[in-house]
Amino acid sequence: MLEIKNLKASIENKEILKGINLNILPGELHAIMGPNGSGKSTLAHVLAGREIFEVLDGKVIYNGSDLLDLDAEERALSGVFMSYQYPAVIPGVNLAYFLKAAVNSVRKHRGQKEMDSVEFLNFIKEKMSQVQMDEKYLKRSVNDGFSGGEKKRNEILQMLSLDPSLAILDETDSGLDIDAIRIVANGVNEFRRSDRSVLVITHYQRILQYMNPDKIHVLMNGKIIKSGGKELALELEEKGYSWLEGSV
Amino acid sequence: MNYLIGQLKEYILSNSSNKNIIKLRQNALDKFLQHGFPKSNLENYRFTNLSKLNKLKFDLPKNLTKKQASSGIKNEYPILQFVDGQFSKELSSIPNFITVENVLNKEENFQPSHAVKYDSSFNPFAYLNSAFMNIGYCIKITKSFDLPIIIESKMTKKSNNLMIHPKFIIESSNNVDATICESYIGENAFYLNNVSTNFILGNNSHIKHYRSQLESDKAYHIANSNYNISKDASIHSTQIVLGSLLHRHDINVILNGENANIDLNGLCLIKNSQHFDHNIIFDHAKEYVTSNMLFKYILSDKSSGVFNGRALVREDSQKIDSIQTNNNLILSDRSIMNSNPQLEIYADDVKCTHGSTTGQIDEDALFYLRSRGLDILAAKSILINGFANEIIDAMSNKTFKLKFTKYLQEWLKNINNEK
Repeated sequence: MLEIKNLKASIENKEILKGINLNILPGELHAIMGPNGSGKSTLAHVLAGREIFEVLDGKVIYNGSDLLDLDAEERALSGVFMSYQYPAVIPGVNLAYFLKAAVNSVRKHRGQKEMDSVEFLNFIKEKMSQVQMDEKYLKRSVNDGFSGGEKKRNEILQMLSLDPSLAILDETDSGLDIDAIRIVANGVNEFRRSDRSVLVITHYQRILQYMNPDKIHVLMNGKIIKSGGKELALELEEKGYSWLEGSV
Repeated sequence: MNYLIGQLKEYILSNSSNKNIIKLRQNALDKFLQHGFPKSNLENYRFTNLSKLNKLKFDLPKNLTKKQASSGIKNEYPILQFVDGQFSKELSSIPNFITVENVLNKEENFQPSHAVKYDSSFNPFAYLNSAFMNIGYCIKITKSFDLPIIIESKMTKKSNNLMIHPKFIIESSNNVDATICESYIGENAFYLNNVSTNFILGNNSHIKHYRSQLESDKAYHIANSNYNISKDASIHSTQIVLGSLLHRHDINVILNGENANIDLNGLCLIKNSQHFDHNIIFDHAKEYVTSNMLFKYILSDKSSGVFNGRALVREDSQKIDSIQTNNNLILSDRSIMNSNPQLEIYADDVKCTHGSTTGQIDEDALFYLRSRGLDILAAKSILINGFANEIIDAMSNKTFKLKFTKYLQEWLKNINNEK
């Protein structure tokens, strides 16, 4: 599904990613953990196609072709989804209008018939119930005045609606209470399928309790310094990140 | 400017209107000539240089019809239609309950200078309008009415080099609710429209006002609008500006009785080398009055905009509530916006806020939309729409809401095609 080879990237001439290697197979859920400033969010943004980051070296093979050749919108259309740590607030644009435009853009790309308003409303209401989001949000501006938990549920709602094959969740659990984490994790679990992969980027192992990760990677100072099974998350929770510092 | 003096003489000779009007015209021209077209050393004209009008020469419309709009035409839809600066009887219709008077034929002493009365600053164009007033109509509304009353000025291709100076006075009686639509349309021609619109609201009269400016892209649209709002009365006005090469609109509002209220919203869509300037004064002259001013400019290409908004609160005007906002979205590195919101408060127990923002499209929001599969043009359109929607969503009249939405969509399509 996704193969990252020696990925190096910088922002404002400062190298953040210093050679990332990662291989996620279809159906797998991987977690990347690491302390603040280790490059976790940079990795998510580089994969999503944010232009402010410059790719210095390496390759990202997604479903057989180089993801780095594609613009952000082309990546989204080809099935890469990123859930933001800080989703943008868009005043004046109501959620229903935005979601319908996005869903139809993806459907059009896939050669599917675009949904009319009635079809879309039925479709989105069902998805909203999966993340326990009230329908009244459809009329509100995108993320405008949403609480932290509402914004994250909205991200998961978009993931479920856009039907991607690779979902990258950037600190989706940060700032959430335990109920919200459970809702988000349930959304991810419902999303999982043998032909879909998930990359969870997180600081804490909390959210991983509700998921079943296949692999855990520790990112420090722009490199993956340790990989292991889900038991690695518990070890990190117990010991923190400092015991690994020597291995950088 | 000498040609103006000559023109007025000729105009008075060929249109022997009554003595009062002639006197008024001459006085107004004298006042205008004291200063002439405003230069940019005047504070109110710092960013809009109109002295170049000196070098241009415009003609008044020839063959002025003396036809008067007659009341009683049986048509449900009240409209006063003007074509190339002339009243069109065929295209107009006025129901019985509205009295429309042609002030040019009025015998009694007529004082049209509402524009000047409430404005402490000198407005040369208001005087110019009174001097050359080639259209002058007073609309008196004595009964509440649901359908909008439309005033429409259309300039055809034949209007090249014309100048028109329409003056409209809209008076509503006590307790009357009505909707007024002012619409300015122009085909591809070079002309000057120097219009003056004056609203005088009776007590507890509630007026909805929609103003759309879609003049020719070569034209000058210079306007002064004056609102005199009495006790318990309100004006809700939404204005959209797309047309003309140069748009200058002076808006003077006096909240002249307790509980008087104005909501004034404006949306300016500016492209190419267009320049739009609003100079607005809200005079809170009585206690317990409320006002809300929201102007949004969207600028593309080499366009420029000016916003001067001033909220004045007089010494005895306690307990007033006033909000003044100007937000501007700049789509091009070459466009310029000058924003100057001002508060002038002499009372001590008031609630006044003002703010101004000018910025480009939010890169985070743009990327967010793109990362959901929307291409750059679609994503930008959504964000620009979102910016403009605050004005459009607040419109209560569905017909005008649709109309303004259509103008916005067409404008967006145009700027996208030109890129």
